[in-house]
Amino acid sequence: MPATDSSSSVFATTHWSNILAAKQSDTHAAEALQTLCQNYWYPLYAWVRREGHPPHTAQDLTQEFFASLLEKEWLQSVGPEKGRFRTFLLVAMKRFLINEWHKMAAAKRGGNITHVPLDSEEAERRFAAEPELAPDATYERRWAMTLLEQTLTALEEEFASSGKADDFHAMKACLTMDRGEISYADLAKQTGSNEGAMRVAVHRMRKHYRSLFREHIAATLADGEDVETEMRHVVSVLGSA
Amino acid sequence: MNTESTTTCPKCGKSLLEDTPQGLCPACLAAAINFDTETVGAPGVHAASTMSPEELAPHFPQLEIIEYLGRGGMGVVYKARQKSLNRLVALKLLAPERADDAKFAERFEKEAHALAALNNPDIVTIYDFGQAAGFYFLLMEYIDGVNLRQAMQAGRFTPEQALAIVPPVCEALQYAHEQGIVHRDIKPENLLMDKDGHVKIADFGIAKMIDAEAPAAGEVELSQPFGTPTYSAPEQTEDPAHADHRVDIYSLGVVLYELLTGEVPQQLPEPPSSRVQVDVRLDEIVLRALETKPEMRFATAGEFRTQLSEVTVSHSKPATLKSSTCYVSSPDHLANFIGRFIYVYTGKGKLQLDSNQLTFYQSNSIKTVIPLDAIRDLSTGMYPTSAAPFGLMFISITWEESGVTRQHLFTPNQGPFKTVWQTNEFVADWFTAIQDAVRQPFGLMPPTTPADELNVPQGKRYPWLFLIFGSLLTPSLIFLFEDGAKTFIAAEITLIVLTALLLLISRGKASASGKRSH
Repeated sequence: MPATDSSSSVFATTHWSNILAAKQSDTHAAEALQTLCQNYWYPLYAWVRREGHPPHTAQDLTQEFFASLLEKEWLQSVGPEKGRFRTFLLVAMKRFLINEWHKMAAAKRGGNITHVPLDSEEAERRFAAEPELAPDATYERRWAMTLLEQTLTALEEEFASSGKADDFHAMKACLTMDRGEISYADLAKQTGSNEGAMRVAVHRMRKHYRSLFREHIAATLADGEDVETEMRHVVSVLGSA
Repeated sequence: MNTESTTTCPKCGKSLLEDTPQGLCPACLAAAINFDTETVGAPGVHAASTMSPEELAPHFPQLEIIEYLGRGGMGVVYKARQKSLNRLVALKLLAPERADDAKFAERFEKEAHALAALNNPDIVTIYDFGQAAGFYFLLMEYIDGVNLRQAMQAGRFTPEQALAIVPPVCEALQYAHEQGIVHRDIKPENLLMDKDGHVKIADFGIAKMIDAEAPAAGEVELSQPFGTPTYSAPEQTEDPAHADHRVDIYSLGVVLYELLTGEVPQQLPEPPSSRVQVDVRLDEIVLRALETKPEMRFATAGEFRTQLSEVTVSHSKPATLKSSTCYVSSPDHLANFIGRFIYVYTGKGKLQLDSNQLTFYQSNSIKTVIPLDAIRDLSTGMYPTSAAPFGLMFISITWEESGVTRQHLFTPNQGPFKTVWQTNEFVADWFTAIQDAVRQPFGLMPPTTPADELNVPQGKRYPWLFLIFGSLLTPSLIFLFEDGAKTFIAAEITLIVLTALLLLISRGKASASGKRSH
């Protein structure tokens, strides 16, 4: 499974709106698109499986889809109102299913030059754990979870880069706790610090968690899209999951 | 947050699947993205006036502008680095609309000089001031931390912590007052707490800098939400010409009240001890600082501090009234198969009762805190007899937390080798203790619901089933080893008698502890 790379240097360039605005020959945009696809392939796979396709077919299908997506001409021709990446990806896949898949199945393309390596075992293992939801709902839920995972991974990496990986693990539960439940005294003991410092650290971590979440969402939006709206959508999907 | 054995989030009750991000509940993580904005800016600081670090850089060649920190009521703050000295500083830009007023400029300079003369470890130091980019700016000490407002939002302060923060602020105010400078804008947003937990006063004297004339337009309230001077003393609004250093004592009193109770005092402030467990002497001190007439307050900040230090010495934590291991369950769990027939508990931990709250420690970081005044129902009941045939009691506690109603079932426990009846007695004892603790401060008991009305499904009881199963199944094992009808009949009779006896006793015990749940 390709690692979700969310270090900030890559991050700056994987903004969906930048990709859309890029010219055909822009290799940076192509790489950025590839990174985005690597991060969000699983929700799409889950959708395909939920649609009823057996594992092997689903894997072929998903890989072919990404391969053709990454051929720049295809991206250009898909239509001007591309919108946010989340909806774009699903719509593109649905169209792909209708138009392209049958052609390709018939032509039996050999020599899989996949730009997006999918770990088939991992995909199925994860899929087995999915709750029973309709295909679109599965996709939405999985998308939202991917966002969460990326945000948390990014948060963890930040802590790790300043040598505080242990602190992160001690503090991460605070992200979901109520004010009255956090024992700063316990945290202080675990991290070898004091209560006052822990208050500051927890506050910062929460604030940073929110802003990272926001950043990751913003990276999937096209120009003119509202971050708040998308945030609320994702939060509501997770809340009802 | 959860071990493999439980598959629901203890906080929101949603089921957790295998791939939870970092082991945390996704629904709760989503809820943590609350859409509250950070400290609210006051009207008058327009969004358009916020410049980016890049835009500012050419105006401050001696600084490396690192990032935008935030916006207060007075202006915008940036983190920067003084290149010559290689130290971090805070750059504060003020009052764009005053830039051309000569009289204002003179006052600004005079005040800035006075501030620069303030040299105290608990007051943020001013390094430089001037005019650039159409703004007046202040270069100050950079504090790596949060302000008290943010710290309060991160979690409630205990009285000990509050009493650790306020006295040094009093001392710093005393020092400043002796230098003839009154802060006039003491509030949590202006008290900065660094990574070591030290508090420093910031924005000192800035309020006095800005309002050139008597604040007819309510200018002293520039840093407050328009129309609600929560932290300013009455004379600041009513008689500003005669307002003196005692306004700071009032404001600090409000801050202390808020730290202790979590809320700001009303028109007629209720004593803090009526809301939280604090020393009664603290009431006197806080209420005195909040006196409407300045002459009724402490004459100096130093006096305020001395009074506080006397309270600090004798203050102690609320004593633990009762503590034991405890099993926990929930109505939802008892409604599903495992809860009804196999194992009634969802977890185990330690239950602790003190005069403020009931705390259940389930593991290192999972802690359920039930403030006694949040309890809405306190009752006892029996687990479904299908899972606990001899009648096992629980204490049902229903309470409110952040607007949500929660219910837990607790069975305190003395250890593995106790019978059901001993445990029930222990549970009943705990129940009385909790009732007493809740009744203490308020004189009121929370409502008690009869067992069949609690949301706990009660299994149907077919006691004679036990007779049949027990008495048929077990003795037939004898046939594996021995042939003999007589032996069988004897065993049968003994078994029936024994089972009947046991049932009778358990019914008797159940009625003795006051609850029957057929």
